[in-house]
Amino acid sequence: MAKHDKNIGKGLKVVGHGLHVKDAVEKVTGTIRYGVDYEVQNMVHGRIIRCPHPHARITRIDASKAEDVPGFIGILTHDDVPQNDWEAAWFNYRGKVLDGVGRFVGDDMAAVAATTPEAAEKAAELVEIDYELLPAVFCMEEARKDGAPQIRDEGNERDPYGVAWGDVAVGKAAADHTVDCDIFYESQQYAPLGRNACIAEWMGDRVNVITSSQTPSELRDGIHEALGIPLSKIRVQALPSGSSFGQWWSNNFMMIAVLLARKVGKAVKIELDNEECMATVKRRHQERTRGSMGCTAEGELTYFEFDHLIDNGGYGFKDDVGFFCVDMWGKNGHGDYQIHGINTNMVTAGCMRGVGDCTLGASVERMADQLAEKVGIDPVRFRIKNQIVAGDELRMQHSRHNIKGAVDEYIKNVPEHLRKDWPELFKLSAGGTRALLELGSEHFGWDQRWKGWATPTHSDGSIRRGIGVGTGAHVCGVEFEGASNAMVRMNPDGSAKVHAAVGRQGAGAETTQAMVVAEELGLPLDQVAIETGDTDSCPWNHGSLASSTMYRTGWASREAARDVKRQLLAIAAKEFFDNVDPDELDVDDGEVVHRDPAKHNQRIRFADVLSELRSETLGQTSSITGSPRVPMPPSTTFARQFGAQFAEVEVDVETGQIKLLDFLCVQDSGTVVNPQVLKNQIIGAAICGSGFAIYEEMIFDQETGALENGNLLDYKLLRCADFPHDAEVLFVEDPDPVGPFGARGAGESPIAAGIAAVAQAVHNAIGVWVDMPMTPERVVAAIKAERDRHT
Amino acid sequence: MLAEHGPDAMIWAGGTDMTLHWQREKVSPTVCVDIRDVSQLDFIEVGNDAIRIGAMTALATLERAAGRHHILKMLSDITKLMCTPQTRTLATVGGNMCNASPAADLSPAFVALDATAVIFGRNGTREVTAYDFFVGVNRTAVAQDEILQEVTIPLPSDGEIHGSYRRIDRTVVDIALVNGSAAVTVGIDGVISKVGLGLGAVAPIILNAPDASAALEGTSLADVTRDKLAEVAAIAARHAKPITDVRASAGYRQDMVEVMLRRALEDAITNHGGKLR
Ligand SMILES: Cc1cc2nc3c(=O)[nH]c(=O)nc-3n(C[C@H](O)[C@H](O)[C@H](O)COP(=O)(O)OP(=O)(O)OC[C@H]3O[C@@H](n4cnc5c(N)ncnc54)[C@H](O)[C@@H]3O)c2cc1C
Repeated sequence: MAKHDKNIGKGLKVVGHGLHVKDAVEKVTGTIRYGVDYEVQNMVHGRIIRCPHPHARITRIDASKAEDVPGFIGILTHDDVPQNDWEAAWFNYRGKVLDGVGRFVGDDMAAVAATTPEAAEKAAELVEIDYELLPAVFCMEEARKDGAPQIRDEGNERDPYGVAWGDVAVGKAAADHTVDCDIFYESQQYAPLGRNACIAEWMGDRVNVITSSQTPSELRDGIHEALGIPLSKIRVQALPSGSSFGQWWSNNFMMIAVLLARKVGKAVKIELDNEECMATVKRRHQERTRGSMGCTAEGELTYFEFDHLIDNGGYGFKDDVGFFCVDMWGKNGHGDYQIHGINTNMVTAGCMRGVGDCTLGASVERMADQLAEKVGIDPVRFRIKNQIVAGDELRMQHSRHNIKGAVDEYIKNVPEHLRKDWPELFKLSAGGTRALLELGSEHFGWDQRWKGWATPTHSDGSIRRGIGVGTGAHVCGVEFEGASNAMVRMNPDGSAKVHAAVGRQGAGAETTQAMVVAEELGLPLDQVAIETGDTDSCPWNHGSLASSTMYRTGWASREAARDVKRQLLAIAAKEFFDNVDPDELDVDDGEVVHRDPAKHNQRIRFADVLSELRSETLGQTSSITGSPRVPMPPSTTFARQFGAQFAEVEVDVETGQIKLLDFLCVQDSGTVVNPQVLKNQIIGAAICGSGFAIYEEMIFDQETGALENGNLLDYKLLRCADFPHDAEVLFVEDPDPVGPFGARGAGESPIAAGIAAVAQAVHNAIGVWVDMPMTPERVVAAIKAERDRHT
Repeated sequence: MLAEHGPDAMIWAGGTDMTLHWQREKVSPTVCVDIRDVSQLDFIEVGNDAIRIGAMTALATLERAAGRHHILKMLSDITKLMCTPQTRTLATVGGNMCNASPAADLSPAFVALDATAVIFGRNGTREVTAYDFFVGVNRTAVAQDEILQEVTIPLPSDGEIHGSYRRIDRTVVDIALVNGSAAVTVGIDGVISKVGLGLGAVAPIILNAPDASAALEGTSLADVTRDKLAEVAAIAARHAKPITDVRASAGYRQDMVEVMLRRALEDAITNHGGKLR
């Protein structure tokens, strides 16, 4: 087994430094091109015709009026579409591109192409569609019932997904205190500031697709499934997406662009407007947790029991959401979690940053807090008592299906000798929340500021202030959908290019992947460039999702660089270093050197080694390409990232308004590859989490399920000025045994931690728990309900 | 031009509301009369008896006028709540008035301050009170062939006026869910001679509350208590006829307009140097 080297990420030349992100200048000067900015020659414009009903089947389409619009080119209907199901990553979409049935208001029904966007819009309006109205259902509970309108052929409800360990009956018997919950979570919208567009251009029987995407490979897979054409004939060129949070993976409108372009025989661009981005693509699920938890008089958790519903909307097909709170609170010996994925006639729901952690995780945090309050232990100590540290068991191994089975299969296929350096599976390999809570509470002055449960730290007139702490955990990517791969090519001049299809969603992956490769190859960062979107040059990659990029793709990028280095040193040893063992050589600042300068003091430029390669192979090879040569250990079974956040809030008990006064984020993502990039991730997560906690909510029409606040005026996102400008981020770097230079994942644990911290701080300020989002109105109502309860 | 083209012609001031209305097809003018360069309408004048603000004064200009008079300071503080710094350089005071949104931020203050709108037309100018200026959602007393020229805020000759504005918003850039403004004039004898109130986002127009004003007028500044102001605010809030929409429920608006008015009154009294018990 690999030994846990605590110094793995120390004293490096590139990794660990706050270098500027590679696209900083492009972004600041506005020259970066997103999907909406892109054009190809002679392209025409597509517009999607959307369903006005929550559930309806097309009985007739008449495009004759649309044909009269000057510039009209053609229409795509379900009759033109292969009736194949395609699937987006993590079951974020499963269905046909068009099948003549609308499953929510705004669903894709057909599309027209015209010479200008205006003509396309006009033509789309003039297409007459008759519908047979079908009964619709918007509420998860209703959709589960026998006799409920059926939204999908597979039925409305997925098989329950479960995690169970120990014996809940024993845990219940051991409990001195118990709490119950029934909490409903509204949908959060990705609310992208950048919209998206997709251009599809056919060249013979090959198609080139240009769009903003975090998952270029999955998009190519989706097109392959939808059209039934070979993967080799599909090229995706994914452009930067801007903040995506999971929205721009592979989306049905992209499939429509591909099919419409084929139908009309011209390159087609479909550009979504703001409302389409918010109301027709996807969203975070509505969720509901019911359950109970118990602990001993000493505050040791004895059991968890949860039944959790997630609403998949029309085309989501998920059965699981973040069970990472299960792992994090894993000192507890007995548990049973059930998750049910249910379809409704509302816009598709899918993975948004911190899926499950922000909801189920928040429920667990709240209940844990309620138990801590009953026992009279403060929240920091309660967490330290009950949350896991490195070496502890990960509870998800008891998952009733999927994980254990899939992992066993994966392991079976890896020869024994390649497994010997793996960390122990199903135990946490590094990190934990304890160090975060200790460092954070000291820095925040927790012990001095804490006045007790439900006790404000300050009160004046209608103002109450309170502090809170929250924790979050997440995987660092998963292996179930395929192993993320990367390729590194060293060019004749000694510079290197990384090919890793992770997209660019503003999280800095283009920089940190290149940093890992630069470090491994002994190159300065500006000698390393990266291609993140072209599936013709990049091997398959899961994309930027599930907090996997730094960890799993970073591993692949480093292994690919190692492979390049191995080849480079072998040639150098033979040609320049008297056939020494290549292991005696190393790379340094673009040159090959001997590890012991006393033996060989020459320094050979990479370019000279490459040039030697060319003569060696009679000009057949002039560059070196490298790929990972060993399988990556199944990291879902041991790697986690953790966040702990501390917040102070101010609540006006008369108006219900909440202000965020102070924020401290402490993060354990293993080695920090780039502190600036990671700080941005953490602060961004804390802002997004706070927004979820206090404002963000998609409001749906009760009768039709249509989105009522599909604009940024009434869908309230926190602005920078709504968040403490002096919020701090501290890192605890417990290096990972597998990740590149000890790095782990980062994106999703911090959003969960922030939500829980704000929720608890509000409780401590006003003495009541408020369901999220804690809008002014809900705060006032909760205070009033509590007052009424006491009188 | 406005007269010539009839209802198809509209004024374009800063264009910040117009752009959105146009995009959402709430308006579809065929002629836009761009008055951005009419510099005669871009002024702030502080006189002994009144403050005059030209219709084309940008919110950013009003924001910077805080040092010139304490009432301008009050208005400047309001503009800081409005839009974004970028939008404030375009958006105008006249546009904010003429757009006549029930949730607009300057309007309740103008009603509370008992301001006058000076309207210019072919037959010269005419004046209406700020209260009468608003006729309905996006509807004002300005006729098709007229424009708003300026807003005049009267200053008392025998005392001092102080005002305040409060609103409920969610994030730093937001439209008020509900708002309230109060302006209190205290004579040299220390007695409150005039109280103006403006209630926003609780009816199609900005409301005032003469009965509530009357309940405070005639009280000596030294005698004003918190309870008294709460009572005045409660009377005023009875005028509200709020609706429920995606931003807030009618019930919340009803409760909050009272809180906003009470706080605005408290601020105004405190600004006078009154000690609240
Ligand atoms: C991002 C954003 C945030 C905003 N936030 C706020 C806010 O917080 N609070 C708030 O109150 N408003 C807000 N607004 C609304 C808007 O900015 C203001 O109402 C602004 O003051 C309007 O001025 P304008 O010069 O842009 O008007 P325009 O858009 O040019 O005109 C508005 C209307 O008034 C008419 N008009 C303009 N001037 C005259 C005139 N002199 N005579 C006759 N008719 C005239 C026009 O024909 C049009 O009907 C916001 C707008 C945006 C885009």
